[in-house]
Amino acid sequence: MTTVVLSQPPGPVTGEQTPAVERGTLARLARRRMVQIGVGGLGLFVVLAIAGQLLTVNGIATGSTAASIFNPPSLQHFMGTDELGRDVLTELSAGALVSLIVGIAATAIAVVVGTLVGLLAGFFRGWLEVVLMRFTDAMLTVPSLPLIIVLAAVVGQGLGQIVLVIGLTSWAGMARLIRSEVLSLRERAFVLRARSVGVPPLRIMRVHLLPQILPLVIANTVLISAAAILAEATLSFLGLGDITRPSWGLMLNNAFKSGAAGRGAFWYVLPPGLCIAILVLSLSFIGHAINEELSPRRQRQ
Amino acid sequence: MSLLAVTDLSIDYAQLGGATRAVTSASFSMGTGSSIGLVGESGSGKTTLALSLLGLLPANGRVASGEIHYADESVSQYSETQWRRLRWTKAALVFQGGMNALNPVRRIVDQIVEPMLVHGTETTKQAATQRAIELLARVGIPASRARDFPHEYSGGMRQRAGIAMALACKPQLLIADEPATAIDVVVQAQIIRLLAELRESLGLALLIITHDLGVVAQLCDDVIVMYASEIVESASVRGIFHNPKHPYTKQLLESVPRFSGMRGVGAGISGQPPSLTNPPTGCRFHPRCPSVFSPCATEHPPASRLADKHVVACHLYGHD
Amino acid sequence: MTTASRISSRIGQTVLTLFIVVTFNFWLFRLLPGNFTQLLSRAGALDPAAVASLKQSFGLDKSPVEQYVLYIKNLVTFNWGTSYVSHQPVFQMVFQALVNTIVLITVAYILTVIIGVALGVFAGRRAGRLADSVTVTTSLALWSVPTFWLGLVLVFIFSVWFVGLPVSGMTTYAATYSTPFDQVVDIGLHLILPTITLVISSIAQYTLIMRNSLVTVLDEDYVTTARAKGLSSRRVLWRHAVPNALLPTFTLTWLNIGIFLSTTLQVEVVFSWPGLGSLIFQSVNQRDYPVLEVSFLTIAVVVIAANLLNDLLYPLLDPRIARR
Repeated sequence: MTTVVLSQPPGPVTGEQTPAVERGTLARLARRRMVQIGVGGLGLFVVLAIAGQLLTVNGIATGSTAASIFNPPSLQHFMGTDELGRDVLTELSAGALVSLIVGIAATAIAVVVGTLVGLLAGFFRGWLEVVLMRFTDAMLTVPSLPLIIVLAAVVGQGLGQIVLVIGLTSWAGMARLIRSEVLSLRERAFVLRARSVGVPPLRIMRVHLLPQILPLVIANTVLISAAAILAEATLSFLGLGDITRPSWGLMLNNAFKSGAAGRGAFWYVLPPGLCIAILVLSLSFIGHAINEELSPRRQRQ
Repeated sequence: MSLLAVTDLSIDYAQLGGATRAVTSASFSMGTGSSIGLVGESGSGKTTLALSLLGLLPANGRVASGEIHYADESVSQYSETQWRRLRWTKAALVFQGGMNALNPVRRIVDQIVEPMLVHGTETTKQAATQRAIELLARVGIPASRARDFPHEYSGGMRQRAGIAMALACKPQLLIADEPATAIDVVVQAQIIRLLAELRESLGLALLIITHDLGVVAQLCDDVIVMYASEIVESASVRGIFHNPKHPYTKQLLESVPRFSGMRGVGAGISGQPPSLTNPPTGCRFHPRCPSVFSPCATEHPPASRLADKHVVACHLYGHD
Repeated sequence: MTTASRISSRIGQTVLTLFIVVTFNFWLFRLLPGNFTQLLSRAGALDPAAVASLKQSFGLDKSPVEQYVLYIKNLVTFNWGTSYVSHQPVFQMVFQALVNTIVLITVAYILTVIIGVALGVFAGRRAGRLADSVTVTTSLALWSVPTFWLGLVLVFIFSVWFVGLPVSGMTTYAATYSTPFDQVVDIGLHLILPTITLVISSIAQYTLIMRNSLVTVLDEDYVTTARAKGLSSRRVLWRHAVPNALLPTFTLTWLNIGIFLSTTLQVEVVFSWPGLGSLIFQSVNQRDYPVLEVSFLTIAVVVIAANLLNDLLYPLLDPRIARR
């Protein structure tokens, strides 16, 4: 029987090292509405945090007299005062700084650990993979908030400790993702070639694998930072954060304990939560958009 | 009276920055029991054409102009309900390789029974099941495997089950999209024999969509060659294989590796299939055509009838 | 892989995970360098009896290995010690809290999954249209709202504007009930706000997963086949697309129990629901370590069990795995 197959349009040449991100991805991302909103929201809080450090107009503690506490918004205090007569807007800007610091620092830890674990497990296989992935699975299984609480209770409550605890409990998802990506990459021609001519493993990981997994890392970095900021806020709300620095979670903790909600002090109860929600939403918008841009479905079109 | 008549059919896909024409002014007709092969590279518009025959264009696709008739009835103004009544009873689809054409979480027999009950061609579950088992036997699948799930079948069995399913409501026309692709050569031959035998015994008309000329040679009476959304040549199988006219058709045939004859390896077609978003001017094949001459780049070639069934759209034949 | 060997390998993995968690717990509370004494001092003014029982139950004079063996033995024999604060047996406290948590999450979880999946189907079949982007955006927004704050806002609304629904606790304080039915009604009323908070906070993940899963499935050949068969669009959706799209969502419902419990913890604190979350919160603040340790272990074990259950139940739904 004669079997004839006509020429098919050429697919991507599998096995060749193609750039993981085509040019224009960044431009396409920048055109997405979600990215624009997300970057805008993020920028807003960066400005708020910096402004708060530069000009502390209404100092934090103004001495609490019966007349100065739970004041509704006024010209003197744009967002009112809290149960100790502190200016809510000033507290909010200090809280923005804490959230951004924790978001960046804890995420950095999680990303480095996650990428390292994923790379090592995926590339070297064998017992190293078994040990690393069993541990990763255990980390993924144990509910994160109780774990963070227990760790924070044991390690202590400084900002540094909080960053460490959140960072060290947020890497497991990343490690899984990177590992499965590396598993498929390591069988591709350019990696096989590099291995066959004896390029040292560390160099292969750095030169061949890292650039390929970078987009995946970036998308997840943004999402991890969103979760890290939420975790810090929750911890502070539970009174397990750094109680020496005003953060959004701590503000809500004070509001909760002082019965601000029952007294109808909406200017005190609403803004910190809205700030958390908007910052986290900005980050998840960006992460969601990057994920969409990188998904295979999108690339097929 | 023809079973299916397509007249001047054009189909557009809406996309960012304008529409893409996936099928341009296609016309052909099929009589009862006839068999036509629709041949072309992927992206030539053949699958889109097939889906439009059942009103199954994707959400961004629409018929821009032209008519489709089943018997004497035009479907241009069909509502979704009318389409639903037509589907599977007048024409049924067989998908490529059967791989994903079957629902992975439902049993084979249930998937065959379903259209019978929905269309009311069988009234009871028992009767429908009975007929489904008969159909499976007809395509060579024993009753003991009827209650299997698709993943328990081999590729060839899935394709057979797909054919049995297509026969459920006794359609007169079977549209098969790459019926023999993605399965191994021996099974491929069995599937082709099965289709030929069904056509013979049931008086089925077959519309075979493929890029495999070997399948066409064994199953079809007539051939339609599509290139970049247009029909460039149509003729009987004999006409196409022994007296091809269009340079594209000739190249298709030359790329067939022959077991007898001088050339051992097919010549292949140089160049890439054109983009439909921004097709070449004039004759769409001219950038790849070995016989290209003055009018090709600027003028669209008209279709000329060379013999009773032999029509070609090429400047080499248009100006006599 | 046969069914039996698959199951036994999964059980093996579960035991391993349990082992890792238990060991981690042991190490965390005892062997963290220099930390145990610190813990003791931070525990504040304990009465001497508590310190003595603590030292004895931890076996501080023994080697780490002996301590570990003793620890495991106490765990499996439910010999979990007594609370520093209430002097009640830890087992009793944790058990009661677990029951209360289960009362809270059962209804909320079922509602979350049903509404989440329904919204996912709603968005997924309209992919790319306005209704879809509104649903996705709203889901992301809900995911971003901190649960504890959502609870606070509800407390705010229902204690300032719409007084009537209970905003705290599991039963009305010092209430006496003439019939058991009255007690159920009272608990039911106290459940309303925590349940709403839990559902709103948790729904987004199910919606997004179900939506993405459905969008992928709707692209499959078998869905085109189903349409080509002349089935109604409703039948194509519910009989062919949704069952396939549900498979990843089903897995998520079990795997996400951990996340759901994290959310529950916050809800319990805000609404003073006397469950495991509140117990963890209290024991952290009161440095009640025996209670903290066991509450945490209990949550971990519940989640690990849910994971195992998922792996054992999944094959019943997906025929591709059942017979492999």
